[in-house]
Amino acid sequence: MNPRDLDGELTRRFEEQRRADEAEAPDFRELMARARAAAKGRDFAPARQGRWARRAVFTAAASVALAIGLYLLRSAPEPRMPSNAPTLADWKAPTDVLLQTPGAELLARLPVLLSPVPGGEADEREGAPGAREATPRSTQTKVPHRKGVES
Amino acid sequence: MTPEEIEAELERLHGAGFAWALACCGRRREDAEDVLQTSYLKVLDGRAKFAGRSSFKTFLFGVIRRTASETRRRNAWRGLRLDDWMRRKEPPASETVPEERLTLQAALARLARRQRQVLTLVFAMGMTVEEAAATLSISVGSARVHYDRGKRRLAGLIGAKERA
Repeated sequence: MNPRDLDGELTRRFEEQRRADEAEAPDFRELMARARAAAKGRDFAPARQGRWARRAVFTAAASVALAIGLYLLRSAPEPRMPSNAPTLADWKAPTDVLLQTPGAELLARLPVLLSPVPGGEADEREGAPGAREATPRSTQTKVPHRKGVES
Repeated sequence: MTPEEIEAELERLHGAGFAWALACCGRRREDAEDVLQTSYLKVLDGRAKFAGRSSFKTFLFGVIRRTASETRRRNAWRGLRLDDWMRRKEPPASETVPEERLTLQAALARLARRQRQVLTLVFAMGMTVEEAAATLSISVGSARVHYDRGKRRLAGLIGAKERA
């Protein structure tokens, strides 16, 4: 069956069904009378008020739930400092002990210069010319010449 | 529109409206009458307002569809009573219905609800796919997909039934 035939066939069947359904439809006046009677028996204003009342109750409940949620969030216990906790100025790093090396106290104070020793290195530095020559020859070390070492 | 004009339009579309209500209620006559009556009430008391954005037919059929959906959901929430269940299980009086219509009804019952609704609006009510989309509150693209798939499936089901 080609598409056009299919459309025509379906249209024919559906329209036949619709005509049969329309023929079984209840009387319009009767249905309208029933609808009006139902409308009179049921006051619509309270229904609408009821709808608004339901909305108001729902909104109020949602607001209360939101307020409770916010209160619980805000009143969460804040972390408190224990009374014996050290202040920031008193705090010391726990690894400070590693910096205590032997002899560290020498670096922590200024060195003290002692007074010069008379006749010591200071005199030699202050320049007695020929002081080295003044040393007696007999005290000079003489290296003995050993045969066969050079050849 | 004045109330008199609305009532005149309702009367003009009454037969087609009932046929559409039947299609929306799974062809249960009592449910269709209740849905139609509730729909008329909604239109008359202003709960459903015709804004003139579409034809009155499209508007009315949309109200009927929504009312049928509400009824279906309400019944699903409340739970079906036994007598309702027994009534729903009763087969329709088929002795007076021609074979061809029974075949169409059986094939339509096997389609998805949206496909069934789009095909009914287009083929039985003479609407365009765009009008059907407006009635069902779906996009035109979705309506086209439902129309194409539904038509192919319906043709297959009817052909298989008649070959058997």
